Amino acid sequence: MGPYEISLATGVGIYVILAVSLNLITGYCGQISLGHAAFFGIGAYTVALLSKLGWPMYLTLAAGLSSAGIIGVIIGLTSLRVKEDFLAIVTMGVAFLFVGIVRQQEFFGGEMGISGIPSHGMTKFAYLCFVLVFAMLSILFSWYVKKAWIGFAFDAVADDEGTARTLGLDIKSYKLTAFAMGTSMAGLAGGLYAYYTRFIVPETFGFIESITILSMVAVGGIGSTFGVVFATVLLVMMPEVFRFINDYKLLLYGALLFGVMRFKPEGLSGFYTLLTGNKEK
Amino acid sequence: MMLKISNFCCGYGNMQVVNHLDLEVKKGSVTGILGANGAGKSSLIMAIAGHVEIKNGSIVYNGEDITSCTPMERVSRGIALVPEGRRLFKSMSVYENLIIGGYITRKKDSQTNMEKVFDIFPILGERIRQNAGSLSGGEQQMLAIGRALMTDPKVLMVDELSLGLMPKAIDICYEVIEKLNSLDMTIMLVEQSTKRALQASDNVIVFESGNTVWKGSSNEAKKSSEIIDSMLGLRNH
Repeated sequence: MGPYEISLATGVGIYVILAVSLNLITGYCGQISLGHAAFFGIGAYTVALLSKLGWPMYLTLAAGLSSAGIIGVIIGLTSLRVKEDFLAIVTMGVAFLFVGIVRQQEFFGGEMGISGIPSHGMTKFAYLCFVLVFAMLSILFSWYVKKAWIGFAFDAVADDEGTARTLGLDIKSYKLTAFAMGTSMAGLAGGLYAYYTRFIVPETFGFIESITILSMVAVGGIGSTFGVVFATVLLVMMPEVFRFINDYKLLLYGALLFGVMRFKPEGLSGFYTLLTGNKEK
Repeated sequence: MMLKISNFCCGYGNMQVVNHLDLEVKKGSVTGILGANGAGKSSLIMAIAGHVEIKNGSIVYNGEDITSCTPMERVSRGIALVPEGRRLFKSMSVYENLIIGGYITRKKDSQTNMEKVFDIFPILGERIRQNAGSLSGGEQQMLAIGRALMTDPKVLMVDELSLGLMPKAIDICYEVIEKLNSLDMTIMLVEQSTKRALQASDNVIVFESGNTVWKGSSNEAKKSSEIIDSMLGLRNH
């Protein structure tokens, strides 16, 4: 593997964690989020700042994961009051708010972002393996959640919150748990990204990035772990493999998002169901 | 007395839909809640289950005031609701719907309750892996009742049991209501099909625009044409 392939695969691994984390919130628990990149950013900025203070890597990653998770729970509290379109607007606001804050504060590096993030101290290939281990753990965790009792409860909340309440389900706890799990994982992805690029700018975590992550989830099939992983690999690799697409990346993501929602809302997992007759559980 | 509802008002926002209701429900009885569309019947049982805001009055269940309890606490005390239109989790299987229904019970009890549900509705046992959305209307209603039974309730409230069902399925559902009642379960039935509800109920309460216009035994109700008209919304003011 050359340095280019290693770099590309590392990026894929980080995006897999990110997409799987959004799938936990939006796919499993039905809570739409248009500001997921903000939690990716919170993780990245936390890790960048702390690593520059000399904190060891494992502590900075834990801090990135925790800070995104804590803020995620606070944002998740809004999901207890608003839902569907209104929740989408609130989470969209979070994306703008995050970029607005880091842009304006010298502490966060302002428009120039944060550069000179210390190295992770591994070879590029070792770091790729490190990222892939986390990506694999994220997939396994997501798959476990789907199979476990909590997965049933998430399904019920996503399907019909009112009915779930009549059965005595603690809706608040499940929504907040989904936000805590999903945003923590996004924070971890942010931390891994900060060590990977060693330079972060506010634009990376803006609204467009949130839509990019959402299109990975939608194209893969909302709620399907393996569909989302497959779509993420495809969408991250495609502009790299077919270079002429790169300039039209956003157009491509937008068109795919539109096409999937219009013609195949189940995404790629829907094709799997169609071909095999089995639904991913 | 299983339920004692006193000077009870409930509604949505500024709108009050049930006004100053007094109702006593005896243990092991079937109470029919009747009236025309929009009379406040469904709102009443939704409020008893904790899903509609209680504006005044109290609900005493088995001697305990549950007026300020959360829906979850009411379910865990033994009050179960079968909502109007079944409202199943249609993308989930019969088994998953039942498992979710047993959320508040322990795993071991959940298994026992599921066996009881399959005893009452053997067809659900045959369709255990089938998606709820692919069941017939009657089977869906059975699953909705079965899901409520997973909480091992003492009071079962059923909203529009016969809505959208073919006569054969309605018969089966009413047979189940009788069977559950024979097991000493207290049942509250919201129905627009007055004839069937009167047959199945021991007592009825008739609503009109949120007000109680009549309550008493179903035998008395059957004899009065004025009450029947009230139930159908035909009474002249």
